[in-house]
Amino acid sequence: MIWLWLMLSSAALGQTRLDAAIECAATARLMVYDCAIALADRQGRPVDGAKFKLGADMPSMPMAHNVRPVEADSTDAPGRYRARLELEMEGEWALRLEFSAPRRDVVVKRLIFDDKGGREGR
Amino acid sequence: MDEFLIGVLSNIGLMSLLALSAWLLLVVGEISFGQQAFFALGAYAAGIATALYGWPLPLGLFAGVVVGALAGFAVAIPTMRLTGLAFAIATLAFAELMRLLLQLWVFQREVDGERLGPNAVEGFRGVRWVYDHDLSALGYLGVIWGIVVVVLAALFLCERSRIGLACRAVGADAELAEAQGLPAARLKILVATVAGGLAALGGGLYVHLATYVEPQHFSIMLGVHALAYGLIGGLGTALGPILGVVLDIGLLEALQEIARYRMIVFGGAVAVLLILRPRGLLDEALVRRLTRGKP
Amino acid sequence: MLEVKDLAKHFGGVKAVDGLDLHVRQGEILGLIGPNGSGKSTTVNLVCGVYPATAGTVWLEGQEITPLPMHRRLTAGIARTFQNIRLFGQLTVWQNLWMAQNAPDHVREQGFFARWFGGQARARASAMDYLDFAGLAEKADELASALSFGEQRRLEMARALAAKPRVLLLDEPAAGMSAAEIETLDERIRRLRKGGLTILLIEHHMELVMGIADRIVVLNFGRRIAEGTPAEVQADRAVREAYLGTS
Ligand SMILES: Nc1ncnc2c1ncn2[C@@H]1O[C@H](COP(=O)(O)OP(=O)(O)OP(=O)(O)O)[C@@H](O)[C@H]1O
Ligand SMILES: [Mg+2]
Repeated sequence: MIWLWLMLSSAALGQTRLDAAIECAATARLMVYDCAIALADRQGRPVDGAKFKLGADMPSMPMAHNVRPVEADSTDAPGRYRARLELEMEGEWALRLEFSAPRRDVVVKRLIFDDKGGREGR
Repeated sequence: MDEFLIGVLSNIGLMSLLALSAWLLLVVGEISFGQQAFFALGAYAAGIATALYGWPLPLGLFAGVVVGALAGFAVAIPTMRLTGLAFAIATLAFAELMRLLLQLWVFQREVDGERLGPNAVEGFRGVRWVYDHDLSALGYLGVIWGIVVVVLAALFLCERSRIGLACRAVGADAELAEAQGLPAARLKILVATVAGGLAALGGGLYVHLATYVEPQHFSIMLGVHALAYGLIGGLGTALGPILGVVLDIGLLEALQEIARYRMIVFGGAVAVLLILRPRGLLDEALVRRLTRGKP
Repeated sequence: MLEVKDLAKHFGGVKAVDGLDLHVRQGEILGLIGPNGSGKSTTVNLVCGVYPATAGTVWLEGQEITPLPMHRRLTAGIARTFQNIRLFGQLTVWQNLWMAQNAPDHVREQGFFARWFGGQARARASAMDYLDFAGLAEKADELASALSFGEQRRLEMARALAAKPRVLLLDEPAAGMSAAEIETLDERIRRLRKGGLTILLIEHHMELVMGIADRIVVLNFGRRIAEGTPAEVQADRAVREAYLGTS
């Protein structure tokens, strides 16, 4: 049944994709980071009113490190959001922005975390 | 259901497929450190099929399984002549070679104004079939576990029939099995082919959940874990490796305090277990006792 | 029926079998005897294809089987027991027989899917005949590793028979058995011959082998030193010397 449905449901293509830039700063608490997220569409225009959760996965050990996703809050600045993320350890993480608005989508960004914060790597 | 829980359960299901793949080879007496390579092949193949060529997910997964099974077959032919440590090292070498090749491989295509496809170390982004088709996280969890249950049912059926027993016989003593007229080498190649397809199925499902993969995902770490789950959970039943996954991902997740020391706990637990129960928690003897109700 | 021609096996400098000719005739029991280390087990291993021969050929019913791998030799019709018992200890008694059912007859009777993926009921029933023969019927569902030494030897024989062989190679089936057990073994082997089976019997127990063998071949240092009826062989000077160690 579910296969049939999967086969038949048609693609929702052609919508604009989102792009994100993320930077995280270490906080007083160990392994807790304040992340600033800038959202833009493909043309570089800031995107406001998005609803998304920020999660994380370790590329060096996929599926094993489950970080509880946190809801991102919008800020006054256009296209700017904020989230407080708690990780299990320092190192390379793939941050995962899971959108429910403007539509369901996922954007993945790779960051390297240390005791100062997390920056997009590579 | 809580999103986080859905995520954890999805990961357990995906890892179970990979762990079952390594477990299958353990049953025929071979230790493979390379099943992550087939997981990677499945992920790339299925991702390319859906994201670059617009295939529906089931067809993409099927393509991944075919690629994984063919690769499993091709690798098994030369490696099955090796035994024990030599086989383990050969599988590891293959997997690392595979990962290095993926780090170099660029294969991109313009899809809706966006360049998609494997891009060397940058990885393969934008495998959005699940999102484009508005399949919910819970729905996808259902897909994953539906497949896991079907795979388990098939394995149980085999376990109760002659093919399963033949695999166990080959694993216990390949030379004796051959003296009984069983083509041990061919059985091992068959199992390696199935194991390749199974790992690829897990990879295909994984890439559609994560929406992206990169070569780094498929390092030796992943292979060692997949192998360890079978050794911890037990070789006596296909539920063994799943128990191993649940114990590692599930239980440690529940006990968040020790999550940070997971690798230490994990390594220690494996070492202790392999001494106390060399064939895992659900080993053949326990399974026999449970299913027969006899001491 | 079963023939080896100029067969040789060298382990490094050890010539375990050295230019051996042997002919087991249809329906007979051929006794193969010789002092320890004279190459009897190695001969069986060569016939079964455990390892390749250094030289020489093996023939079954006029067909050369030297190039066949071990599993194909069983399906060709050669089954054996081991001098040192080898069973699947983690499988039950009847499952050990199930594994051995690989003769072309089994394949034909059952068909591919029923054979590999079918249930156990029919397979178990067909194994019971052989277990009855070996006096192991009540033990069918025990683990092979839980059997006594004598029972394990009987299970090995039942397993070899379950493969529906045309030639049966018994490597010291009486070793470690009590006098009473040897007597029933003697009787069982006679019954097998009556059923038309061709048997190569390796045995140190002289009473048994002299009593039931139609002919006897004596090995020493991997070579045949005598051949004939039990009476002829017993009278042979070379044989006496080999056994007394004065040769
Ligand atoms: N796998 C092997 N590697 C090296 N040498 C071997 C091997 N198998 C047998 N041999 C040697 O070959 C010779 C013949 O051994 P074989 O087992 O055939 O003797 P046998 O006649 O069966 O003796 P027994 O009556 O003690 O069973 C012996 O000297 C033995 O040490
Ligand atoms: Mg011997």
